[in-house]
Amino acid sequence: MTDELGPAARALLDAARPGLAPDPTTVARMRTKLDSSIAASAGGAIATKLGLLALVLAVATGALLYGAEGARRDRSLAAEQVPANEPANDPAFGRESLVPAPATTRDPAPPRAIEDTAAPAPIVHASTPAMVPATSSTPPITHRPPRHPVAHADLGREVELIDRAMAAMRAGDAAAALAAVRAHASETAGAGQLAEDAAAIEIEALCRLHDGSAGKRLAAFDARWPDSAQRSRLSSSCR
Amino acid sequence: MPAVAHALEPAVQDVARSLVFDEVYTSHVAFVWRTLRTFGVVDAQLEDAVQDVFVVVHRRLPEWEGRAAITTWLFAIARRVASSHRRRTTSDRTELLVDDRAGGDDTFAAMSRAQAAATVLAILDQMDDDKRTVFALVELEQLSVPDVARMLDIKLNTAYSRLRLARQAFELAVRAQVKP
Repeated sequence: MTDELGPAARALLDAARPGLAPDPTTVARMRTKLDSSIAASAGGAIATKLGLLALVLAVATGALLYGAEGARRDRSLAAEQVPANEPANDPAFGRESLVPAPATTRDPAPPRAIEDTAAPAPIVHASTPAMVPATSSTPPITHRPPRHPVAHADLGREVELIDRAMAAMRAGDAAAALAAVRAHASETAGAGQLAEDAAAIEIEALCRLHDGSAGKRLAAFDARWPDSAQRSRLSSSCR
Repeated sequence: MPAVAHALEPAVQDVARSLVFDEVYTSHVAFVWRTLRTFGVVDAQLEDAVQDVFVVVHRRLPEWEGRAAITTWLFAIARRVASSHRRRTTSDRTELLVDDRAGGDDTFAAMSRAQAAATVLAILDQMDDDKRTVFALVELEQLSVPDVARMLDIKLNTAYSRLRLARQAFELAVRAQVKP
């Protein structure tokens, strides 16, 4: 048996090759759908950023109000010391105008809506309002209630978590990267489409933290993805 | 104002990324499509699978950095996406093979594209994943064996060995079709 293909096999491949590619109509249709998906995803990302900003502002406002509550006893005296044109002295900028912000802190609905936009199939939601502002100051995953693993997490959610992990690695925050990839593992039961990426990031983060479990994780990685293209990068990262 | 500058910077990056993404999509959508097919994604799921691949590509393009060939990167993403889609059954394609059986080397040249593609895919379905992948990349994508070895992160000899065995299997299957 020769190692080369015969003329019949070559003819078959030549005849098949064009039929194995999508026709132009299909390519155009897929592109349209893809553009919609990307636009929705981008909208979700912006909404997420705006949501985080809103949360930060809400927490900051809450802190200010808390301080204001603490200083209520001295308010009349303080008001006297504020110039007349200062917003704090203007009813339009007064305490009442700030009330809706802490209301956001008490009511989890707005942040939830934003989160849902970012992740079309969110797996877990914060169960108590108190957890919502907490996400603005610490890695959100650690402040969520325990989740039931879901084997088929939405790809968008997977990408979001991997993006978050990679961004954390770039920022030098290996602990935050670990939190993100472990959230990914939890939500996908370790069987997500980006499980290999998540595992690679986890090993990289562990190496950066000089965690002794990195070697064990690397061995498990090799066993599961023996042909991984990421292996050489891990070798250089964990040198 | 710094806040404005910060707001504009991602927008500029998005435009640049969009231009690159357009090029990647246009140049490689067929490659991704065939790769997904090679890995057993059924026709009904191909469009969704292609979309899944390019959603990931769009999000991760800034991290790509060009350290590997774009096809290598796309291939890796497509392989993972394919694994999440249901593998096709081979029965339909086996029926096509039987229906198309005629005789002579010119049989396949006269086939329609769809028939030829279905026949090739039916033969590929009978190979194991390792051989099918190397065969498809060399014979359908017309990549060099060293490139394929690098892409799959396997030794060159291993790639040649898999290709040789895959060619033998393909040749046998084709001969079985053209015999009177």
